[in-house]
Amino acid sequence: MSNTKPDSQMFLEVINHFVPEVLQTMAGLTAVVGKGNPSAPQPSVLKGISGSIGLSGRMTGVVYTAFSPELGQTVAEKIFGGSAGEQDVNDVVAELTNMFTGNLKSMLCDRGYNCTLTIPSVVRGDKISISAKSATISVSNTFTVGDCPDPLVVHVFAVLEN
Amino acid sequence: MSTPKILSVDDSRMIHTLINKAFAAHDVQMVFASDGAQGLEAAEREKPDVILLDVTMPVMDGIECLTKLKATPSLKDIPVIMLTAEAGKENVLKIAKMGVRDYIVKPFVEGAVIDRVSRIVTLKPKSGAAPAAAAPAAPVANKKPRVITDAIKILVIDEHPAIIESIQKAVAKRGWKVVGAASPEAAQGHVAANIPAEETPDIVLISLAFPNKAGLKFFPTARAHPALKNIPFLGLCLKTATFEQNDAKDTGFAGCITKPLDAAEIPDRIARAMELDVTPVFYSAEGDIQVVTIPPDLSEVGSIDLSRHSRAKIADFVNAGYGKLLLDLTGVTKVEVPIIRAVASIVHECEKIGIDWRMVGSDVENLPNFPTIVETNLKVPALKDLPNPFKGKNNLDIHPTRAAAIASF
Repeated sequence: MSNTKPDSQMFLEVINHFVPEVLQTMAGLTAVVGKGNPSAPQPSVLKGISGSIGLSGRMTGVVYTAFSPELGQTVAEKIFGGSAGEQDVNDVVAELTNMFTGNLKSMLCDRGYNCTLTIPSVVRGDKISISAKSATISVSNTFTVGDCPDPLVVHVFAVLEN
Repeated sequence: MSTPKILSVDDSRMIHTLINKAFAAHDVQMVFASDGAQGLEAAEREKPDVILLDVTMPVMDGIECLTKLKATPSLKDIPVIMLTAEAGKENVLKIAKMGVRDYIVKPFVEGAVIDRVSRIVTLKPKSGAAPAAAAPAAPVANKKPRVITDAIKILVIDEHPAIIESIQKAVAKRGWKVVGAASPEAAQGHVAANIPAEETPDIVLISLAFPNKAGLKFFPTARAHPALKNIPFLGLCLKTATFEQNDAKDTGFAGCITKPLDAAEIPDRIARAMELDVTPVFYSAEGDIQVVTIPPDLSEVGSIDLSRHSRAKIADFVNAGYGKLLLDLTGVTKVEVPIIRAVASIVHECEKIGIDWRMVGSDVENLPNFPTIVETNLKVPALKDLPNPFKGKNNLDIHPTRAAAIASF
């Protein structure tokens, strides 16, 4: 087990690694990683279909994802191999958020920051304001998925126990 | 043989859809449940052969569901494969201690689910179904069928000399040659375009632990050489390195050999990846009698491949005029799943085709009890579809030598 305390950069590296891997494996879609922001502002605003999963334990935090309706539809149709309704898209957003977060959790657990995950939630909106005032880590990045013009946004808030 | 029943317990319709797609070409019966509580009910009602169980679910999560399954006498023996996005060492150890048969890390490819389930139940193609999409396994380079007794050159690329040495020792019994390299860079010379075809390797075994996925990146490099464009690759990695294994399959590897290495299994894994005909190792002839020699260290992979080929091989011998079969288990002292499968399959073929058979063995205490051993072990999931050719038989006559067995025909 590595004793390195995860920092913002490490969080970014993990999402930069796993988000494209999950999309490639599950949907066969290539995701191009954006520049990334290791100090993402609070509050931040998401729009579209947003998945969120909480983490609690030696690390507490929340992982948010935001897909535009078009992107959500594209990914869901690729996964289902045909048309996908609104519930299907929500389900895909929830499950993909779960996969991103599960892999982040694995990295944290391997570094001694054990935590448990909540069930994913999905909300839809044009202006979803997200913040976590106590978070010492607030990172975000965008991923251009396939030919879709709207990027996938992934935002992580975290507080690590000393 | 009954159709295997698979219960998938997951709160995601997406996962159910993917699992359903994965098994679409196979003759299986799928049952779905969307949380742990429904999963328990479905398990009780359906008595599935395998349960695929998610971890994070509402109402009752996978861990609680697994605990309850294991505490229920009628359900505790159903093999459970966990599907989890949480591949941390602690999580993996926790679920391993709870008695799961295997686990699949999300994201996963369909092939990974089929692979894990097929280790527990026999999957047969659905009748009338289109053949399943080709697995990423590489076909054999040469068109001419190759056999296990051919001279095989293996390129092993691993940073640990001990691994190369272990593989060398494991394949020595087959007379195969191993060329070692400590890194993909050091192996470049063995796959360069200018080396003669007779010096190129027949298969590559490469560590997946090299930094920056160098092991995976070596794959297209090697295959760029026209003589190597179909060469099979096997990854070398830890059993828990599921991501690496999935990456390797996605890249086009024929499979992975996990560490710690099982010496008995290595030649069989290589033979399977190269689609070598393994039967010459086991089948021979003495006079007008066909002889099947079962080695004491028969691996699981070797047993499955031997059993799979036994029908055709025995039929070939019978067509060629060999009407008797001698099953030689000399040296076998532990009758475990691979031996049981091989012996029962071969005897079943003999009984079906109507040829006389005898068994030779040095373990005169245990081998006569083979009918009881088979009967008892048919409950083991890996053997549940095995035909029992010994039904109604009590003790077997075990001959101490081949000569004695031949004389008894």
